[in-house]
Amino acid sequence: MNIVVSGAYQTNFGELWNYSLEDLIFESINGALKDASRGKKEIDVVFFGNMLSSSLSSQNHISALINQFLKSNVPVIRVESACASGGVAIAQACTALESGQYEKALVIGAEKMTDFPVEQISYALMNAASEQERDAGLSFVGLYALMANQYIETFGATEQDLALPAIKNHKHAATNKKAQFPFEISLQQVMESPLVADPLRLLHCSPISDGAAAVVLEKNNKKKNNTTKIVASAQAGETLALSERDNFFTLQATEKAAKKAYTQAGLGPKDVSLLEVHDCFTIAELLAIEDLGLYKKGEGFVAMRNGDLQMGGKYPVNSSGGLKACGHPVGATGVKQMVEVVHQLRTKKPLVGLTHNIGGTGGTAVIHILQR
Amino acid sequence: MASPAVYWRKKKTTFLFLNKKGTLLSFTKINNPPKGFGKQAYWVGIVEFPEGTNQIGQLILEGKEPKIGQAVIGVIRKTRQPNNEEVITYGVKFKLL
Repeated sequence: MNIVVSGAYQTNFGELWNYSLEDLIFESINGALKDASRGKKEIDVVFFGNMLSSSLSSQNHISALINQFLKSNVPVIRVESACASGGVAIAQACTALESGQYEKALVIGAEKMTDFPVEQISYALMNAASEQERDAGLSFVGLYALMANQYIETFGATEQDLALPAIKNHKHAATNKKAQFPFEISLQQVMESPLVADPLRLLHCSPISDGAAAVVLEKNNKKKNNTTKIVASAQAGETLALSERDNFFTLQATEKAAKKAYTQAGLGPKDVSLLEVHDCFTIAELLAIEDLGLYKKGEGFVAMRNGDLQMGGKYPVNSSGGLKACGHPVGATGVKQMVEVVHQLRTKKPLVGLTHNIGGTGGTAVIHILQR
Repeated sequence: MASPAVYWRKKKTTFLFLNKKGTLLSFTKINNPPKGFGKQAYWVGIVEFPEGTNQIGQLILEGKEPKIGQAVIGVIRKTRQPNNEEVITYGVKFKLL
């Protein structure tokens, strides 16, 4: 696979009272097209990652709205795969470009969440869980808490270990002007924040966010300055219900997508120099770095203690601040991850970047590997 | 909220684990219940049954402390906090032994 990322743009993430869903989408499109030096009419196909516009914004036909903005008649396909909607939209665009039917694809991810009460957002998000899990009175933080408790019991991690990804990601976000929480937090603050679902506390959780991101992908771009390329795009799935799995500390979808992606790229985990991984809750980041093959099962929290995952460490993870501190407008997250890796590859010159986007409790995993 | 038709359809599977003994694989305490589950915190666990099937459900502690590996038994209980016009739903919760 050899697809050039010619344009990449992210809006601010956060509680954006003065931005509607449309405003966010249009800003991200304009930003990505400008970055790619492309006009609206040059795009052949559009993929739009979004989870909640049907249930929250009463807009089921948002693809046509994008046609209206682009003033074109190109196909626009909405992609819904829970919190992996953005990543899956990119994967679908890669498939479309590889098919040879299109040469230039625009991928947008967007979500407007903060207009609505927390209870309504939680209810809408739980549509990505199984009926059995909803009937048991679970929320997503509850589901990840079930994963965290089995991880702690099996590998001897502590509740303080669960705080470390949050502290690291806030530290990274402190230098990201577009992050929702651009400030550092302490271990004490995390450990004193309220328990939401034991052992996960408020500051172990990603926030409710507004935001959008977009990328322009091109199959046959000969421009010399466009040197950031997608060299692997892989998606895998697993059971919707967490309880149906062999254990709750391995996301098989991540393992299988990672294996496919490494094979496509002709690379291994040790070749990766920068990652954006799905840290909807801090336990998810620990599971991700293990399932991606960076560390053996049960060793991820030790690497986190050693500072391996910080900027400047062995495997810098979530330079944007991740979902935890940059924010998590669910449909936008997967696209934002790619925007962040592209910017890092352009400016700080790591060679290989990886994005890892999860839907639900791991029912969907999508991984992209980018190379400069 | 479940409509009467949805609740009726579910009866095929709702009570499969009634009076069955299993083992707790993981658990958590939900401090912020979703809509329809009242205001009080409660515990939820994933239970493994001898035939190899797992089931997720609320836990009944009765003064005991939940632990991974602990034995539980399925008992019938009201599962939601309906308003005056909704069906009162019953299902299986898991009591610590």
